[in-house]
Amino acid sequence: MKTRRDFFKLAGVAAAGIMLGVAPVISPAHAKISLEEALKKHLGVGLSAIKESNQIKIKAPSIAESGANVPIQVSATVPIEKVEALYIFVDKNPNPFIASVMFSPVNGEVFFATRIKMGATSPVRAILKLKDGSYLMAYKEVKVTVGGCG
Amino acid sequence: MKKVIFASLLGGALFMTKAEAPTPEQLQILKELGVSPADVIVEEGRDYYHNLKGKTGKTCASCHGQDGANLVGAYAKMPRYYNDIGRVADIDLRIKACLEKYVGVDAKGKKGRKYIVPLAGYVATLSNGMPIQIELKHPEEKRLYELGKELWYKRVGARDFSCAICHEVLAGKRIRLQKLGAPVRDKLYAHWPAYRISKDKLWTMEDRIRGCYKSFFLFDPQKGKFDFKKNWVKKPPFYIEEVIALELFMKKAANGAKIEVPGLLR
Amino acid sequence: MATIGRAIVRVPKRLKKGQIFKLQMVIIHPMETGLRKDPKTGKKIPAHYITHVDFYLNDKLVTKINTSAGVSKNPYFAIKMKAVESGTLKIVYEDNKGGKWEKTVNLVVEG
Repeated sequence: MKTRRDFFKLAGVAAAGIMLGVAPVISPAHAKISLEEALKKHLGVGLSAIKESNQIKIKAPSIAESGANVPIQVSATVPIEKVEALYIFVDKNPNPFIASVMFSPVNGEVFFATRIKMGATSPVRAILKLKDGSYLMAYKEVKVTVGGCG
Repeated sequence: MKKVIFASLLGGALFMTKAEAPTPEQLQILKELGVSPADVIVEEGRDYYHNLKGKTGKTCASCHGQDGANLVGAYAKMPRYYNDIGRVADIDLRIKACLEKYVGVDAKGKKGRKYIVPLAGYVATLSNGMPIQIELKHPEEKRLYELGKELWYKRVGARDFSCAICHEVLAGKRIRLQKLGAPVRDKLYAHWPAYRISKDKLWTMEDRIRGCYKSFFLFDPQKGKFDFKKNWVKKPPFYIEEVIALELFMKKAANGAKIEVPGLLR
Repeated sequence: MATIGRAIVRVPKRLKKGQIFKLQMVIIHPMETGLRKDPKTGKKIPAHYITHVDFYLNDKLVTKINTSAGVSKNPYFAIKMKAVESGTLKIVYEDNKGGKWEKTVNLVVEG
């Protein structure tokens, strides 16, 4: 690198290379998967194929100041023998997929509780995959604010 | 003053992933979950208590008994004067001294906290359900208590803050979205050591007080003009007299309250 | 703070046959998303999170939890189980960096 001019030439070439040669991968800093993409990836179907059901209940705070630790408890009255798995999605997260639980009849009841991260106000969705291939869903919107003091 | 508030608000917004605290409803549901990471850290303390060996070949259990038998109720009476340390010690300093003298483990600075905090969590649980019982018998205890009381009300630093301003006068109000607690009036020491959800960490009361001092913007006048970025005292050193004095003041105010640890806080 | 991978599992001490009980566990783990920057160095902290938790009752897989880094740090999980028979519940959990741990709990079922 003899002169500043040389450096800029190099940098320019490098930048062009990045623009042209890189596969269509989203830059990690802004990696954002849409809910629809996440659903297709994990369930194979989109939101329109999933029915809302009041057989699934979500317990979560309406307002969460700590987006880092949002407690959620999901339960369903659908008999466990009919259920294959439970999926949790948060629409607005960079990766909407949070967790999935594969049940067996030994579980007795459909139930799952955990603490999740939320980056912004968003619906939290609990989706049940039934053994007959159909899907049921419930969601709750959780408002996320930011605390200050430290 | 306004510049100070603005700068800190901005700073707060930039580091939002660090500084977030649960709202009451959220905290309530978190408590209902029943098991928290604090319980795992207390388990780790229990593990260290029975198995951590240093140069002397002894463990905590060697002197204090299996399952903390001889330490039941000890936390209810701390901080107090200990002959072998020659000072009034809080649980942090007591454990540090024990680790260095009797177990033979280097427990200085941040490295030591790795052992001290879980052990403090465990030893504190041995006093669960018992009332706090601070008796100021030794002259050093009396002196430190008075020092703690003085520091509680003393206004210092670039913001002219004292503990009392936020935690007595303004207690119950919100500052930047968080509700201010009243540790003296409400005997909150009974819930410490506590797990801070917003920090994902178990803190002893000493950690808490040292953290508070970050908001005070203390500076050393010998370093010249006060500068946020350069010469601001971020946290006082571990185990200093002033911090233990404040702990003694707050714990005595909590006399009679039943110990319930580990606490779960914002 | 505490050792990564350390966990506690809580189940009721005594169970009646047919009873549906709650199993709770907390694992110490950073659950780094890979999107956060270290405030001191400015560099991205690499993703480091638990990827799945498998529950085996008397060596048979009965429940499987798959997780992303969207689960909170020091994660908590709770599921329900039916007290079918006494036995050993083995919980195996792994992270994306090859960390692998196991916790065993005895289930005492009466009746």
